[in-house]
Amino acid sequence: MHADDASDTIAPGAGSDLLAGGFLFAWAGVGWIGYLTNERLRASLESPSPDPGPALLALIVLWGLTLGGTAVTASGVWRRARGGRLRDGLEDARTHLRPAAFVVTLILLAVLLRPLGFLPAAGVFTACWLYGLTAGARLSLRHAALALLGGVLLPLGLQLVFAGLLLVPLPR
Amino acid sequence: MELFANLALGMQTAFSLEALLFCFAGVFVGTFVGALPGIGPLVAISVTLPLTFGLDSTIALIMLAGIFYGAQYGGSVTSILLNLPGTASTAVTALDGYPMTRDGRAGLALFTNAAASFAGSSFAIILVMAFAPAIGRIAMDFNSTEYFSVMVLGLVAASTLSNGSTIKSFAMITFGLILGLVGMDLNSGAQRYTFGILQLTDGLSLIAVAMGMFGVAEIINKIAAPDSTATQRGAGGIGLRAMLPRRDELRRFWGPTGRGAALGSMVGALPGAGPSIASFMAYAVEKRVSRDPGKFGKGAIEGVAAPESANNASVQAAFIPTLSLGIPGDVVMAVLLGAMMMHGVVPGPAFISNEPAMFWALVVSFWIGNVMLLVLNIPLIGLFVKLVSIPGRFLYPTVMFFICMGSYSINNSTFDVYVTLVFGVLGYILLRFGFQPAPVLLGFILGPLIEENLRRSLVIARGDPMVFLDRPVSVALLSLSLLLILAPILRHLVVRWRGARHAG
Repeated sequence: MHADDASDTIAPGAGSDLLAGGFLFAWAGVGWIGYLTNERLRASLESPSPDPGPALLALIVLWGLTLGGTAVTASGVWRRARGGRLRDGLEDARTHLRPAAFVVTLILLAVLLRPLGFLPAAGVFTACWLYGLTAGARLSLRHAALALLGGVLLPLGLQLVFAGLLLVPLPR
Repeated sequence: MELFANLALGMQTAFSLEALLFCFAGVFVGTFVGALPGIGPLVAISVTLPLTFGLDSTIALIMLAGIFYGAQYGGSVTSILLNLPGTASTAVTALDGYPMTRDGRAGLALFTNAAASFAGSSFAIILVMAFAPAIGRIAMDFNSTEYFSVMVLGLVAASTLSNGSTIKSFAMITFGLILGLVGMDLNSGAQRYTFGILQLTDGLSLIAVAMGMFGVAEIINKIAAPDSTATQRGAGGIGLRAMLPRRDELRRFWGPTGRGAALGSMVGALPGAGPSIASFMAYAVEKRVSRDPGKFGKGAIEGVAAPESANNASVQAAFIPTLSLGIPGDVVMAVLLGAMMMHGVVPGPAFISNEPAMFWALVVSFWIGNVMLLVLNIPLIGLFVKLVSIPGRFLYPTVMFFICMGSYSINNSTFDVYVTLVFGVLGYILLRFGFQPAPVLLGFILGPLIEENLRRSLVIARGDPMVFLDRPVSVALLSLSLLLILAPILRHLVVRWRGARHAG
């Protein structure tokens, strides 16, 4: 993050507002499904007890999120109506390729921790990313050797310090 | 007299060898993580939290708090020397600090940073000592309606005062509130948003959500440009002589530092507002009161002193609502609040009267920590600059493991690691869409507390919502919330009215 940079995030535009609004709607949708399919929760609103029940705040905040999604979407529609393009505020999809790959390997790491154990799973993850972030698309033996070394030393060091010295349990 | 007795009580613990050692460890780690862009105090506190389970709770809190305020110092050093703010609250320092470095006045900028930070912190610590116990005593008489109103004010302040779009912040708060409701309702036993997943019955883990949204999300974000922060060198080796200011420079230091401290303390004490807002506001105020606003952005000493004093004052003042009301002053405070609860400490109005030794030891340790930081910052600047040069390819996988280990070790649960990763992806998407993740965490923390007080108030009033307007404190707090919501609309109307008058 450089101080000169306006922000790490994308600038607001018709496209980004519409997508952001859709994102909020998606979460509100998940919330509404959770609420509407929960008979016991809905029934608590009808209860004669003075306690308004567990549905009251749930309902209020769901409406809040839905309204927030509507407002952000409306802002996108307004920008579009004023001549904004759908592309405005959206980044090139390629920007997200490396983050997406990182997420995929993180999921793999979490899944492989149990069958492989911490050291091998963490070793593969570290070696892959050391290589990926150093060499990029180029194939280089030197970088591969460095990545392999890092893949062995880093998890070993962590295991030694955390599990060995500080007695912090490692994920497995 | 009572104050001195209390301070003496605090000193007994704070000056013990163990407390000094862990205070030093906290401020050192804090300065380090503050200097590293992408790893803020929140991740550092979350990761080190499991390490503190074996410690006495006071010592643990001294260390965790040290990480928080130490990070402000570290972030400023890299802002000044490398134009790389380690934390968002120190970004504004770079506006004048970095030009000072380019002009060969890095030493002076660092001195200004250290002295203003210390002055701002000291001012706010005095306020913590004066106001936290008093507010705690007043809050002992609060009933559930007043608690509810304080929390509403905190959430409204977080959405209206945060950087970026108010509507988006509001949406994030509601999203956080929903996350806070996940799990089983303790009064009725009803499940909410658990979707049949057994592990969600107890709700989402605060540490997992926080580390995901702030740690993993930031790393994923940085992965897009992995070595942008790496291998910038050449700012180390600044001697003490280069740091000493001339008399005229010293004269220009006091005013901005004082104003920054006052403003930062005010913002920090407000639930929901954080050090970033404090430093940006202090810079804006300084520019406005200056006789020569054109010098800002070109290496003005005032442009370093005011935001640094403000963000450090804000961090210390954030302890006032956290310790006296149990309401976090900002998002890192929210995690610190969670850490206190894990240590069996219940923050809130009764905290200071129930745990006076812990409270006063914490306050005394703030001062000790700030003195340590003042001393640390001068000889170790070269080291911190070198640490910032660690390439991303080594840093990011290592930090990822720290995060995974941190979230796993709280409950020894792999499910929490999955939750961390899911919230990491979610946090990345939010960042890309221009949403601030901080209000999510505040909503998440305050959600269950708001619900508890809302329901309790309505039960007492037999369902009458007017109960929130029965007591003057509650009315005042809700009015203030309404004012904060209406302020941007009113400002807009005034600007339009003025424009129309000028045109007419």
